[in-house]
Amino acid sequence: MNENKTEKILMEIFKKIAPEIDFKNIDLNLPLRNQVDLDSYDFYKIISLLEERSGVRIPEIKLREFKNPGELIQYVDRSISP
Amino acid sequence: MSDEKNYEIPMPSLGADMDEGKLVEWKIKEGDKIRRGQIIAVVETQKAAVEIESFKEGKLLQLLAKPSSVIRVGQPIALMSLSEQEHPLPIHKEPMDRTGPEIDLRKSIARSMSRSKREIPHYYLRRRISVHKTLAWLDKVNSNRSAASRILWPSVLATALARALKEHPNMNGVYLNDKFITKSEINIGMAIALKAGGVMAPCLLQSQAKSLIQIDHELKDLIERTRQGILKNQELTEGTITLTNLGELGADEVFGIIFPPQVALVGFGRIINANSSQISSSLANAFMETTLSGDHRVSDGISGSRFLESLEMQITSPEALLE
Repeated sequence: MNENKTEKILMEIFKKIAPEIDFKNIDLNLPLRNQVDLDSYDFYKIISLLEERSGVRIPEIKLREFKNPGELIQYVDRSISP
Repeated sequence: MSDEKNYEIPMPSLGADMDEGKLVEWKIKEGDKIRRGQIIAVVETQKAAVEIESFKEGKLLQLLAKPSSVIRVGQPIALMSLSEQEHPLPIHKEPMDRTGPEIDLRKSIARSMSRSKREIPHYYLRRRISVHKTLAWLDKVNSNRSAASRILWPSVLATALARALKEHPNMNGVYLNDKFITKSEINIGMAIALKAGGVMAPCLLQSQAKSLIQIDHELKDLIERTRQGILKNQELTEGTITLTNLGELGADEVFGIIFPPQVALVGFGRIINANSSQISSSLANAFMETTLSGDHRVSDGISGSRFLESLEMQITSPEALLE
């Protein structure tokens, strides 16, 4: 039901934090760090904004478990209240 | 001319390597009353656009420099009349303004790092610091926090460094005119990578009296402003030591070049998980190669080693950093 909602939010966040990156070129099933040049502060900003805009709390321990952006998106999608 | 009543505001020096600055915009107009500490102009250096504060109180009589002109350090940019309690300082006169070439960061880094390598006899030390307990502790502290208010790992490192420096004043200060001056304030220059390339090290001012939470708050603000290019002149000129943290994508260790006139630089490599080849496994044996680049005119390998030991103590007993 919430399919693609998180992805859209994330795309907006990337536009703001890293306008040089074309989100559409990111393969969501591969680790993000191999695909884009973002530092830990960029990640901090991205996750902060994703929490704020989705209303879903993303624990740091979970973040470490996600292997790729797809897993993060799936987690947030599932947690968004319908 | 500066005299008892009037004061010519000079183009400030925003770093030992700065010869000239470009006036970007005025924040005041003729006739304005000026408070001490008020932002009066924005000046662009090799490193960033910097907001210039007034060190005097009074009224602005005349703007002498036009926006987008490049002006030598020390040359007057405005004339103000001083309020009665002000006593003017004599200012050093230099040749006429000129429009200079475009200023760039890479040149500035080149100049200041070349000067460092020429003048400072560096020595280098490394200490392996076990960080798994501190990382677990930070996870716990952060577990109840929203992502935005989570404490960043570099904040832990900066706070620990400030505490360790209190016991090692020979690492914190400046070397000027063949003399080391130790500083009571601890202003940690934080090496921050810029999106367009290059690195800057604006400082966390007065870190000696701050808790981890305060440092974290200030570091986030400092990174934001560095990337936007909005820094205060003090943040670029008053550093007493530099911290460079390579982060998770970095190399294992870094032997940095001291940022003159400072006398030490502390480097942190990426966090390494000792007994695991799997990236996603736990951080059970995580460690960090911590290095010190020291100025041999001021300290030596023995005092440097003791300093790294103190730093390890601070990093490995993080509870105290919250105080």
